[in-house]
Amino acid sequence: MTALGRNLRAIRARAWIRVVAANRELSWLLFDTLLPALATAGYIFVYRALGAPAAYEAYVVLGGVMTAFWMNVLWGMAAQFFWEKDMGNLDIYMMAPISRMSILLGMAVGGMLGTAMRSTVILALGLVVFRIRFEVSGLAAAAGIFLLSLTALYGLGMMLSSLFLLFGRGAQRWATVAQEPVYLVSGFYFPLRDLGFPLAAASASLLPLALGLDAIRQTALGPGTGFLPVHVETAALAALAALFLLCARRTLQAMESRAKREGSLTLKWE
Amino acid sequence: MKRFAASVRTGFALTWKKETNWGSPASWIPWMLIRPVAGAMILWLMAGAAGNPAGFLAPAWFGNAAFQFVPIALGGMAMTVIEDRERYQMFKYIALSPSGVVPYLAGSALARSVFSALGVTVLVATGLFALNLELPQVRPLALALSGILGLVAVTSLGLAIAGIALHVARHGDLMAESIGGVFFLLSGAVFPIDLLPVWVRPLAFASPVTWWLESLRRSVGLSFNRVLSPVPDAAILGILAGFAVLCVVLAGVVWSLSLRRARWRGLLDTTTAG
Repeated sequence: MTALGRNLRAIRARAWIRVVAANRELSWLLFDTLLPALATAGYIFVYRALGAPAAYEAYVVLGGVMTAFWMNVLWGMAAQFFWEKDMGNLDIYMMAPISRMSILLGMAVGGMLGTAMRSTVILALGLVVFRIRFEVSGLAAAAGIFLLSLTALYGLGMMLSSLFLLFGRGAQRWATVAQEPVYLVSGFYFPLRDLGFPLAAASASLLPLALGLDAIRQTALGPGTGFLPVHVETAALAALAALFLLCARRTLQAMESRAKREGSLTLKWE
Repeated sequence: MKRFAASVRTGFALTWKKETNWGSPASWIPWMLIRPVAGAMILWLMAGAAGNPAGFLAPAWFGNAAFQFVPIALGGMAMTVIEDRERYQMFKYIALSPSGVVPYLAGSALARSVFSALGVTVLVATGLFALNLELPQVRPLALALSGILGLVAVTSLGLAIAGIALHVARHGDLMAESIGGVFFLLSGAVFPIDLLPVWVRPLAFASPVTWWLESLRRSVGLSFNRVLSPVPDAAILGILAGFAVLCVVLAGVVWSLSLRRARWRGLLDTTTAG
């Protein structure tokens, strides 16, 4: 078998685990998909209590959709190598005759597909229960920007997976604190520009979520409260995607080299 | 009794060390605070985006502050069960020990509650001094009583969830987090339950957290839920006390049955994480 064939099989195998395993246990469907969607509904009621325009409720729904992917990137990508090391899989990956990037790509592809169900439930909740309306004419562009955002986001996750491994036991803490603070600086539940220009610009420069959400909202809901023009945000997203994928490769090599030197690939709980 | 206290101390100390990653307070206090503060800032920005209508921010802010206890109290013990069973593989030894699992879990829950209390304190202080939100009429006795009854009710539910976590394959901590989200929606932590559809309201009334937050708000002179306004303060406190008793009984039954069944099914030392 050629190297390409082996790597494609590795990507498929790693993705397969994500898709199948995530849907094998019925209780997870409830705890990982349906119940978290209800928490998003809570923020819609906040805007209703505030008497805000309906567009803000749509902001929450789109934010909720992206929340699902961010959680998957954090726990299913960034912290994954740390867990794999604890379980004894990491050294097996390192010994396999495949590129380590194939493992990361498989995790990313499988994670995206697996998380799509949760995000679909949140979107359906918004459309059916809360009667959120989007501009149909902008949906194709929004879908394109969404896919670009996911590429950049999972590129970031691939990069973080190596970095988190270096953090060791502290990785879980990083993953935990990267939830609400990231929701805040990415404008998950309110317009990004409400953060003020310096913070919004800093967030947009580092987090594909912030740019992606803002661009998707502008295309699906109208440009009223956008931070930057859509074409600028789309170009920045493409640049971030390329940058993160490149950095992911570099950090993976650096992590592997350092872990081999220090003999820490098989150490647990440290 | 000595054994019980020793087990509580062990659970407390071990959870404290794990959660602080064996670090100094300067290294972990910011980590403990960043999540609740960021979550509250989202609420503040949402209110700002909608023009800050009068009468919303104070009850929502302080309700959200008190709610910080809920996910930790509900999910803390389940997380301990999952971590100790599947990651550190210690749960079977705790279950074998003369004092049993419950005091150990109680110590663990206590440690996590201390961390939550830090977040609650900072949020209340921020609301009072940075955002100039007012607590019109603080009644310390009612506040303390509501606080204790609510914590007893929610922590008891946490023990019941820990029992269920013994039987859920992998990622039982997700379960605790998700259930916290349901209470967030149903208890009116950050919005009045008047806004919930009429058919959902019975679920809100069946949640002890709803009565806890209502009682806490009333004890500081705030009001949020018009639908509960005809109910007198004493009745709210009585309902909360009833829920506390019910939750303690429920927790005892669910935990005992779950533990017994887990022993029979060989789940005390299962390692399904991954």
